[in-house]
Amino acid sequence: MAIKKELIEELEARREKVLAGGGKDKLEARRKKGLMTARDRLDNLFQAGTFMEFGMHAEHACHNFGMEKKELPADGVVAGTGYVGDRPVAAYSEDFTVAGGSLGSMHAQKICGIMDYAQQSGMPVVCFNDSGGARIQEGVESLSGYGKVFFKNVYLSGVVPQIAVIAGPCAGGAAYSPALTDFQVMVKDQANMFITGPEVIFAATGQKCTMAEVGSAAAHATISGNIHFVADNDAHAITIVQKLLSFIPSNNIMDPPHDLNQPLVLDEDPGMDELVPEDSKNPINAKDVIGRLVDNADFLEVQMDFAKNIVVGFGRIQGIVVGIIANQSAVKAGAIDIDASDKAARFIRFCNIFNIPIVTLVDTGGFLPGVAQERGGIIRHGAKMLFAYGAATVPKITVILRKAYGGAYLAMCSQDLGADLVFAWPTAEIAVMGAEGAVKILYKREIDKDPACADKLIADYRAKFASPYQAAGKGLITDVIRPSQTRAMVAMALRNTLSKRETRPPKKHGNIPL
Amino acid sequence: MKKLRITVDGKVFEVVVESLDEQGNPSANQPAVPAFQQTSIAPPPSSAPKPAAAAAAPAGPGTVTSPLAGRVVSIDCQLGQKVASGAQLATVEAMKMNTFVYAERDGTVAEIHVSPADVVEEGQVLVTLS
Repeated sequence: MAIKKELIEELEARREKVLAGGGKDKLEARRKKGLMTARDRLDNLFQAGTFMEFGMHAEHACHNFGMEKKELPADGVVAGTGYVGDRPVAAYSEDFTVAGGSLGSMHAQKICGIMDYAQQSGMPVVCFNDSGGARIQEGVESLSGYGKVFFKNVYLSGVVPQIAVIAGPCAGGAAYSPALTDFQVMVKDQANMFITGPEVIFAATGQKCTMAEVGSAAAHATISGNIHFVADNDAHAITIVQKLLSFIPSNNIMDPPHDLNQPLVLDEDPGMDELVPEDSKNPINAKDVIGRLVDNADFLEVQMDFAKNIVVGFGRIQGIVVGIIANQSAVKAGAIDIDASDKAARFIRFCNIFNIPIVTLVDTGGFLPGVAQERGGIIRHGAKMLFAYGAATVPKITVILRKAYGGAYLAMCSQDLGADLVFAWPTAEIAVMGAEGAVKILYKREIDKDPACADKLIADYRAKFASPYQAAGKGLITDVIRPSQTRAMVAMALRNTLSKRETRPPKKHGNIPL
Repeated sequence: MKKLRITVDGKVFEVVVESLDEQGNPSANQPAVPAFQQTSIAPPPSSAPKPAAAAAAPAGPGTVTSPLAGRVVSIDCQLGQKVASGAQLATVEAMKMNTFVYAERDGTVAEIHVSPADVVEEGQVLVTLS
């Protein structure tokens, strides 16, 4: 007695057909072009042999335009779970060799199914977008499919991390699904993403433009800020996803993967002292400071080419996963502008959702002045940052390296915005405004009478107010520390604050100024 | 890493020993160099006409512009000087901070459009490289 041989053979025959996607020749052609197939991507993401497929035998639901005679293996999307490191992760990967990866109702149903499972099981979702768009033959059902996927993206947001890899075309409404996820990785040269491409833009407005300008990884990474990481190719995109997953928890009720099995080391780091330039007007490269602060200089920078005047990303400090937000005084004087505010606010909110402590490094002269900034809504955008910090209940540790002026001082997670601990270097300048501006207001009459006295007044003001001790004297900072003590103090502060509990009045959600 | 010579039954072996912690990771005094690399990318060229800069010098190939509005502190290059990509060309002060302006490519300083103490706008041409 054993199972009938024919049944096994039929299963294997069906499997083989589905595994071939749009045909073995098409798969080979992709590989020759240096592209991974939909299944290659999942095989590379997951540990060997751990992929569990969902809906392999799905059939498409279209009965018009001769589609009823066509077979579309797996309906153009491969979905399932597998292991990344020691954790299960859900993923789906669109198969461009099957009807151009177009989204039909079954394709959408499979995506929604794996997302439901991920939400219930508390596991991250990774998706590979590589699709020509809606399956026109399915008409409004295809459109409805997109709507359902978007709804799931929103439903899962804040429950499990969602990471989208844009690995091929991602056009029109389809672009809103990755846009609703937490992080977008885009593979340069082989991917593009846009709501309206150059042809539609020209037809509708007469404006001429190139795909590189509106839809490329370069455009989205540097100008629009739509994506978070650029990958050289499919394999690199997958390593970025794996690296990102190594810093974040599987869901919002778990802690991130801290490594607390190491003893706290309180050694000083003299190299940090050496980073501080003698002239307080000369910039410090924030990435050098971060490199000395995090374990093994291992820092995953998020949006590295967008709003470079602020640096955000993940690292570990003596084993504890942190999200770091740092003003980059080497770019645009570290001034906070519209893009920098948006970038930081979104990152802070991600950290808060997923229980990742926040470390803020302050070195900014203020919000960037200018007509374009004011008319562009720096008040509204800058307020996002204040809102995000104020609303975050994770441990918040702030180090004021040097400049911390006015509203920007408050915006960079000051004690008043809810920082648990604030350290300042002796080089910190914590003041309501710069010496020149303050003296002009405070001593207007004296300077009008005798312009020569201005220099001395400015020097006096700077000596008295451009220091950490005014703020320290008012109890606004925890302690003044040497730069060389920073890593030790922040590490200890994080350990001490890790068990922080903070509850707020129940509400649906605050009204962040979007 | 330590090199040791071990003799077993009269045979001499040279071995390299690395101390690991309990989890099997290299010990802390030998930090692992992350193999992971991130990719940085430059913005694509734009076909839209550039907004007219305040100064007479129009932006074009080889022009080096101020990244933000401020006051010129110093010109850190000389006419006719050959500069390599990454060389510091000028210093602009704004927001209580000096911002260094660097060459984005190799070239020769063909024109200097501003002088120390000049007030410049964001995008204003400071230097032209040929």
